[in-house]
Amino acid sequence: MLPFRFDEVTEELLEMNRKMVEGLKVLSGIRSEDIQFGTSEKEAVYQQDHITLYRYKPLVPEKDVFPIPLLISYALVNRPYMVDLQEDRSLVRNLLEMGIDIYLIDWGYPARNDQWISLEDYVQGYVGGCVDYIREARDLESINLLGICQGGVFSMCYTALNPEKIKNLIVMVAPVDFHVRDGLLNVWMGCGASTPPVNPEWMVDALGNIPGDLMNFGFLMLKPFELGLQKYLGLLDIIEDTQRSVNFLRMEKWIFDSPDQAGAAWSQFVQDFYMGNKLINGEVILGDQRVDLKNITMPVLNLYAENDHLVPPSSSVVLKDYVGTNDYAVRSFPAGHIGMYVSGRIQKELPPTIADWLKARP
Amino acid sequence: MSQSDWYTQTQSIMQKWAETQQQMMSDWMQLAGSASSTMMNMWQEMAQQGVRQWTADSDSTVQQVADKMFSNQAAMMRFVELTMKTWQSLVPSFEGDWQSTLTQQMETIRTELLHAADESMAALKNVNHWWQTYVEQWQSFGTPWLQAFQQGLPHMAKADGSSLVEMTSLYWDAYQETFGKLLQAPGIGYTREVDEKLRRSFAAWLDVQQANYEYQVVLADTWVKAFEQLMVELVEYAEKGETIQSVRDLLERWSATADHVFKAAFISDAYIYAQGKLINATMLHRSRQREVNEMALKLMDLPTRTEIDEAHRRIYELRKEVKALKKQLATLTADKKPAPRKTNARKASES
Repeated sequence: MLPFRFDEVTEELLEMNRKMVEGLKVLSGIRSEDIQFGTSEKEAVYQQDHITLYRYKPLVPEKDVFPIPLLISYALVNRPYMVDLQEDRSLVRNLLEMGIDIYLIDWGYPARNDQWISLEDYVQGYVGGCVDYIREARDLESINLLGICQGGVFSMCYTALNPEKIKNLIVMVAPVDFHVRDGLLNVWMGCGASTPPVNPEWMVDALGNIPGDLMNFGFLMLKPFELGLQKYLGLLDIIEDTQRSVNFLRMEKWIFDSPDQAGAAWSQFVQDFYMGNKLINGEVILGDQRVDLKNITMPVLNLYAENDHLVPPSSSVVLKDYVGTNDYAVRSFPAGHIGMYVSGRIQKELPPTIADWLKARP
Repeated sequence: MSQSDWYTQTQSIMQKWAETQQQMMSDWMQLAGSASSTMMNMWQEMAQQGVRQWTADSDSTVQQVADKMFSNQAAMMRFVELTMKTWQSLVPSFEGDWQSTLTQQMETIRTELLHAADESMAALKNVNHWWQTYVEQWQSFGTPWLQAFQQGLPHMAKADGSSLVEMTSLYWDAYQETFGKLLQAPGIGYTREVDEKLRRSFAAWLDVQQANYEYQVVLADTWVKAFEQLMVELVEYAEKGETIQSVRDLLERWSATADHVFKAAFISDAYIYAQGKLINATMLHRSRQREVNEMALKLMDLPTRTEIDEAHRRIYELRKEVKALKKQLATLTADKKPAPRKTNARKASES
């Protein structure tokens, strides 16, 4: 009684090794310039400290550009070029083609001297600075805001504090209830624990900023075998195809391009959101202002991924219960957290969902 | 060497590696005990080195991915070996109580996994021994950079004069007379603070060792549970007369089973507690270590991390103040100008 057949296994091993050698030949020919991100043309229009605001060049005639711009606020933990990864996998490009005028915040790479930057700085200072710049530049009282993941949390906070400046709010794969137990990140960070398992202040005291590599290690540990073993075995199936290998490497580069997290902001985010679940309880204080989600009275579109292991759907869907708007829409997609940007199927459905919803709310 | 040379050479090494893999696989499949994995590891190492040279001019992501492919290939073979060996031990008892055999086998694996951690914990019981080791480590800590300091400054002195040489001596003497000897000095007066910081750092280090051991126990237990689950599934397949079609198939089953078992473990209080304890202990030790480092830096008249952080904090606060003042100024200036026309967002869309 044996679980394998020897002759087949031998053949398989030979084939795997052959693919590896041939694949390495392909990989060795790929240069840095081949693995570029973001094919959509953009221009830096505003800068504050280490953050940059970009405006993408419209892809439709000026007269067809939707007049209210959309500001995208991405998470701090990875680089925002995921929304414009490559020409055929680009949420930005798809939205541009639908006439949406897009601005994107690039959070940059916080250095050790940025460790004191607080959540208030991120929300009121940086998001606020970008919103004000666009309002001023476009002579508008309010603009549209799309917040992704942690950027969604920032967007909710900003909108709750400055509702007059946001016309429509979209949040995508954004956590709202941090005390759901079906997300490993939530549990690891202490949701529901009487004694928090980790002490964020000790971490910041010891490290200053939280290293991106440490964050990444934590994310990989959420699915250690799928992300550490299976992914690279799967690479053998595509490695001889240069274009697919380049796509794989581009994705790999993005995954491991993790900026450090500014210590003070990270500590407050963990304590107030993950540990304290203060967002839905109206207890988050930024500067001297309390964040009350009931102030979000403008239209809200909530987009989430059905198979999200980083932000469980149960964490996102509850937003309806906490915002003050009467115009609330929710839409889910059969994808994981990252699949929302890179899945071909999702990219057929997601951009029109956003563009149509915005255009219906001028 | 050219790209094609690297290709040819790596191809040839990989061939040898594959042949060794085949030989090992053959031994495992025939349940004849396993050949030594030394040869296989050797070929793998050679191939990996070749590929590192081959991809030296490529993007760092290419190098990292190539490295991961090799490590995964090696991990795959080790995993198959473990699976086969366990299978081998189960075969004689298939007609009887194979579950007990499996449990025994898992216990052996658990013991092996924890062997290293057990040894270090046993050694830790002798705290005096570790205290000596710790102190010795700290004594040697200063030596390399002091040596560099000594070697570097005389070169500078050639250009700048003899005063720097004197400074070097001053620093060296200061080190010898203070920090260098403090660790052996009785804990009184001037040395008490040093002693206290060193002991706090040592206590934090002991906590890290303890926390690491507890974490390893939880992790080892999870590994064993995952592997045990896989073996149970394999037996079930065999009993149904089904076969695993390929190594890839086996690894995919292993990956799915392991991720499932690990997820269940990761969400358990035992794991969360062990992981949190390890992180907290490591962080506290790092902070304590910095306190000791900073004593040495102060003696050398060098800025410490704490001082630099404090300077950064003041710059941050000043920057924030400037921003607030600029904003205030802009508001005051705007108040004096006629108000600009703000387009209502809704109007903008209608125009």
